[in-house]
Amino acid sequence: MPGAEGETPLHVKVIERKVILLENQIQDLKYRLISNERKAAEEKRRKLDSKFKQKFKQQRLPAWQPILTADTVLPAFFLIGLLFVPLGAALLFFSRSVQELQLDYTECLSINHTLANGDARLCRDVIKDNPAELCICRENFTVHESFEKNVYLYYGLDNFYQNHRRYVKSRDDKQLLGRDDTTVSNDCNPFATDSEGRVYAPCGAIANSMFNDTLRLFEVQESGSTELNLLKTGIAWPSDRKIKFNNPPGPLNASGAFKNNVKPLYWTKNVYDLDPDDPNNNGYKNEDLIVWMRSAAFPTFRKLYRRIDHNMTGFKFGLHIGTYYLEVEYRYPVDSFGGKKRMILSTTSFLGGKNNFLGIAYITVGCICLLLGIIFLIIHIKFGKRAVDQLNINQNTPYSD
Amino acid sequence: MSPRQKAETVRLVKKSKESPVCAAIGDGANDVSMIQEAHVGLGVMGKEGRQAVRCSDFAFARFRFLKKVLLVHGHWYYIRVSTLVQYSFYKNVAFITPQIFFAIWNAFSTQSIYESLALTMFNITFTSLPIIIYGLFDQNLPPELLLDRAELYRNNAKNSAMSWFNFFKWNCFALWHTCVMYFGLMFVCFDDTCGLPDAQTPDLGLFGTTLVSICVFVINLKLVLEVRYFTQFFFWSVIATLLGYAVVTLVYQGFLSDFFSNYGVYWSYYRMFQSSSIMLGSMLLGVVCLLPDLVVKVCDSFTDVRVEERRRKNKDSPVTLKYYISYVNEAFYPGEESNNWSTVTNGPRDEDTSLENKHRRENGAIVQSEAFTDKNKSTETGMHVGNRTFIENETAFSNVATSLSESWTSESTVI
Repeated sequence: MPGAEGETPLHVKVIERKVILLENQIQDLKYRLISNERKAAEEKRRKLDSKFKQKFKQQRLPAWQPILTADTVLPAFFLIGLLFVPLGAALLFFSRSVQELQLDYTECLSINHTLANGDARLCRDVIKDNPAELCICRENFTVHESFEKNVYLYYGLDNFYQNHRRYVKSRDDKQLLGRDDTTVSNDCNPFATDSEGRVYAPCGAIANSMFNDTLRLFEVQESGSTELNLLKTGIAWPSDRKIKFNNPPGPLNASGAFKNNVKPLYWTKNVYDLDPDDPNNNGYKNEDLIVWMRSAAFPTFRKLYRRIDHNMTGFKFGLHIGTYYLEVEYRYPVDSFGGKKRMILSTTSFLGGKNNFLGIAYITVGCICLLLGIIFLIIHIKFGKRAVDQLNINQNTPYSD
Repeated sequence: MSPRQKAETVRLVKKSKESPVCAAIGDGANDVSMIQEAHVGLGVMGKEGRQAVRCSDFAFARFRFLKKVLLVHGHWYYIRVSTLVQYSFYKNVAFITPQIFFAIWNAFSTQSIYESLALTMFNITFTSLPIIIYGLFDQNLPPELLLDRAELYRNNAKNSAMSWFNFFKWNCFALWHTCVMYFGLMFVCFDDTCGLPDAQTPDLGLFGTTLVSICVFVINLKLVLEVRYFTQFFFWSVIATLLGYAVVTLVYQGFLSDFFSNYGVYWSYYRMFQSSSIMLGSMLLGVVCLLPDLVVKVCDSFTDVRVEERRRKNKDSPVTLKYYISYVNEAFYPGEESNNWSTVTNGPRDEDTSLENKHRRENGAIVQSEAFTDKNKSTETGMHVGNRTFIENETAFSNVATSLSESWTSESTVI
């Protein structure tokens, strides 16, 4: 073999070339392996990316796409109209069957106080001069239509803002729960403690302004007048009575549960004298107090006062027709803020007191719905298929088949 | 071009006469300043690296995605965001305005009609989940339609969804809802006649709780009316919100707590369910609130693009022959009113009163007219039309068939 100095022999060149080829092949295989691995990893990832996830990320989630056109909404209008009108009629029937009698006794005349010229004085003037004076007044009323069973007696106040902010927060619920009668929260100020530092029981402006008129009903008969039996329990919310109001531990007298307390500023009796006959209705658990402590929402309100006892003879089925009078121990002054007091005798339906609004509103809305339904029906029939749609031709318009 | 030149080009367009909103799209490092200069910078992830993507407002992988980004996603996002903003204002107005009304009846003493839990949790807990789901998933119009009809994008021009008129419209609804809810409830409970069992009387806490309940339901149902794309997510979010509200209130008002100081509303929500007049009243007030919204939505549907699309695709109302002919006539001879099919086949309107043609005309058939003298051109056109015979219905088809066969056997010459 001719062996020149720097010249590699042929077989070496062949081997070198083979080696290079093999190296290239190895590189190739390596790349292919890497890319395969990468592909496998992607496949794996794609498989883990479930169909739902893909739809989620691509904003292709399945959905219902309603279009509220006149013809789809039409049945709804008719349905609502046809449901509401009879419902409203029924509600109106029920609310009209409620019987109610209201008697404003703000300016009733005293029976035992007279003016210089012999006329009876107004009770409100009597108590204005002397708040401690007992003024009794009577108001006659007749029942023209007999009230069906379960008649209730309410007292109503006008222009009395029980929803005033400072009034609403002026109470101490912890005290009323029966805990902690030694200190009361600052919300009760200025009706929290008296000048000697003793705590009012109960404290606060709401309790202080509690309604203290006594209302009694009498029926006038030939033989004289008979008093109606009125039940004083069962008038407060059960949740209040059972849970929110509790007496502090101890007997209900000045030396027991309320030994550190003093009666509120405007009260004439102590909290444990509210109903001495019934210990379950005494102290903080007195239902008149509980009813009063529920702040009314509006300045014209009523609160349940008594229930007519239908176990009385002659009142088993309700309040019968006749002449009655209301006797009031007039103590509550409403004159200074232009308020009014009234007595309300009312039956109830399942809807509540005498309020025709719901029935009338249902009928009105039902009629409006029916009217709208008819209007949309006319629109749909007349203008349902517009000529414009049929003329909407462009190069994408398919030839109809 | 250098980056500075590109940015200056964009600035030139931005400062031009109409001050348009400019978008710039690029994929390389030299596009960075242009992308930052434009109002909307779009970056394409490409061979030139991620420089453009890093500084852009929106980035995507291929240039061809631009069409979908603009026409579909841009459109959707705009509608979603604008509705979200309008809805947020609406729900707050609808919730808080009763406080103003109540001030008239509480001697302006700033007594809140709602107790503190409702005030705290209303915005975040009771009404926020459905609108978030709406903002993520709602699709105003289907993507195929948006890609097909690019002119729909023009509806969003000049921020039209957040115009003063639209804002005013939403707030009018809010005011209506507020008035109905507050005054309706006030009249239902007038002089404390909304009945509780055993003729007991309601109070401020009960009134407030009822008002919050009605508010939450009406506000969520208003969103249900606005939604166009009901995914499972949205449906369950509404259910979850309403149930969640009920559960939270039941729990909160079910026990006395010093920490939460919830003495005022203790047991009010439970009592609310015991009062049938309040429940019936709530249902009525809900319906009355949403009735105008429904009516406005139906009125909007008359001009809705989707309804048009649906009618177009609907096989019940194909394009009729008559209208097609008149359309073609308009195209060729604008200004001449022509319902007459023969003018297409015969060229400009002739006093073509021959009985035969008239007969054929009335049959709605296309016929190679025998009034065929020097109007070769028009017959050619006629032929064209004749080749694409438009058949309206079965009878027309048979008419065409018979008349064609007639014409071939008649004396008319056909090219």
